[in-house]
Amino acid sequence: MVESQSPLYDGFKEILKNIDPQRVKDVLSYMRTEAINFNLFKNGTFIERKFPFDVIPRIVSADEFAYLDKGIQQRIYALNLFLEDIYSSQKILKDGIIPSEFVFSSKAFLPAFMNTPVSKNIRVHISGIDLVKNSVGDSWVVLEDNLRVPSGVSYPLSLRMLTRKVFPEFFEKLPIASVLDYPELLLKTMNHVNTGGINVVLTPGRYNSAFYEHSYLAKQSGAILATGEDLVVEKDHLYLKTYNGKRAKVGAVYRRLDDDALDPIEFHPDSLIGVPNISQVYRAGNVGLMNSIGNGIADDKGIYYFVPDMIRYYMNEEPILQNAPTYLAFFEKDRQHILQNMRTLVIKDVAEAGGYGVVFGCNLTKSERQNLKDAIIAEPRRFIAQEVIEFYDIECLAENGDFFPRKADLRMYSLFGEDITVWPGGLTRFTMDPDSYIVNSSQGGGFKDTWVLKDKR
Amino acid sequence: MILISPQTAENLYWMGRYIQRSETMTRLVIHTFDKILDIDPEEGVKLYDKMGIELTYSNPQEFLQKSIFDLEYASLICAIDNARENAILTRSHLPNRMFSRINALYLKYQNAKLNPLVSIFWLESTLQELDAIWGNLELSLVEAKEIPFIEFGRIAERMDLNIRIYNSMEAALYDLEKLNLLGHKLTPHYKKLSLTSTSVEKMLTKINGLYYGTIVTAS
Repeated sequence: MVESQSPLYDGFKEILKNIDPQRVKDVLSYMRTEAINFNLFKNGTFIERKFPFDVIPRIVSADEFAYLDKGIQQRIYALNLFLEDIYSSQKILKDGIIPSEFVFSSKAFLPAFMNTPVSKNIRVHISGIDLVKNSVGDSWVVLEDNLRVPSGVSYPLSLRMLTRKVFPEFFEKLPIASVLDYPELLLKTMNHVNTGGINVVLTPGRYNSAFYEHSYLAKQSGAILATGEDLVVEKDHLYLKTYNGKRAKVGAVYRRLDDDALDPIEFHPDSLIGVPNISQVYRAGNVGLMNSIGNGIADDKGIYYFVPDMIRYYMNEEPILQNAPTYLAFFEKDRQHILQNMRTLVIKDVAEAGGYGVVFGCNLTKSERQNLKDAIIAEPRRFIAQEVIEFYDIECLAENGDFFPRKADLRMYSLFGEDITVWPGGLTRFTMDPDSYIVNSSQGGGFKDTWVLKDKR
Repeated sequence: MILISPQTAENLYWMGRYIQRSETMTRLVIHTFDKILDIDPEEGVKLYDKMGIELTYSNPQEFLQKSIFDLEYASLICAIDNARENAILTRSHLPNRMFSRINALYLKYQNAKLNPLVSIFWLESTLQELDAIWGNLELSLVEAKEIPFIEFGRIAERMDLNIRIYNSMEAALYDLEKLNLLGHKLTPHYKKLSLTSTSVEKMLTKINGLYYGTIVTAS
């Protein structure tokens, strides 16, 4: 089923058909000149590559956005409460809503950070919620919550800046919500948790796949882009080293590296990209760290199963957004279901990310299926399984002007500062392969902009 | 306080040097190409010999090809690659248009490498693009705190090449004054450079060590 054949896209297509195809080429050329890259490491080699994109946007109606906005706010609020709870009194475990061993057995749970207060009690400052629109029932389904270092926001933002220049007629004639205030929202979010000092975007460096994004967000928000070696900890405070030997105190860090790499003293001692002792500054409450350390426990693919329960438990509300039907191999009954119905399920390794470790049971050979069954029996905590969702395709534009459909998901971003703001845009990712369901950028997927229409009422 | 880390400062400095190197080398290659045609076929050999590089070619077109694409570490494309790499690293500090122009020049050379039959006209267009890059820098006031680092690199490179290629003390002394002013701007404890030696080698060592010996060691 192709979503972009719905009447919602009529206005867009009407304008598109009168557009000179040469202008589409202008967009391609500009993206190249601007080096809007999402780099890859393949077989140990760094490959600088542009992020493939398509000019046909995903269009989200005002009513749909209002629904997603409410649902994501509710979800983020509950996940933040979960993190506050899990790193303090752990009531949700004591009340038996989530099995304790399920949390304690996760590598993403960091007991060393128990009872560490965080600035303004906010832990999920920037999140990326991955959704698909199910063609069966025409409803949105959450696939994943990304609460550590969700990337991608700069790509639709850069594409939007460009399409406004090349195709202004869309923006004159269609009521498209503006997304250009993202850097300002980011700045406000940083300022909200800033403990006194400058704002910094901490990047792993030039060879990270999303270095373009780090650089872009730092520039646009006015923060300083820094690598680990640019920062130093002195007496439980964090400083930016400057070229002439002076130090500038850092009050907030939007870190774009995982917990593992963040601090070689606290985490992985081989990390060359982290900042030694930054965890101590965080513990002392002397820096706002976005996102907080230890968030991985809340976006663990297994914990995802319990998010609807968290919403009921902490907020006494029914979840607005639905999860994909999910089975936890950890539970005996679910495990039997997975083992008996593997052909019809998609199985995910909770330790993997970026589209890796995702296996469609129907694509496995007999021996591969048996191997996976053995692995599930040996390590049930490591696996979840979900019903395959037939999510919509969205059309892409071929060079000859034809349309071709591809499966597409949507990553929506929210920022948690004074309030939770769901950004009225998003990263729509599509598969390159017509038979694939894997949209991840690190698997070679492309992207589209997401246009949220404003309410005309 | 100027919020620029030692690493970023160094990248800005080297970006300035490589853009200037691209400009000077483009001019030299154009000029030498004419001399090969009109005066002496060995002019290209002499030029690169001054830089300690051995270059052989059998005709003027091959001289162009090698100077632009083939000389390891010393080709024009190599200088442009390095300028662009430093621009990528310092992108969050650069005016958008300046970055785009540097990247566009890089892409132009990467494409040309695939079909490397270039002309002097083509090289002259490189000069126009380099002019535009410098122009973007001069016109941008918002990012002003970065400019002295880039300018410092630009002038150090120009002095180096003026001494190395033309043995021109006059040009070097003219730039020296500007370099010292920039040095003071960047570091109050900057130790003024003077060029009193008659040895070219000693002067080059002084110029090339200046950034690391004064601007950075002050930290």
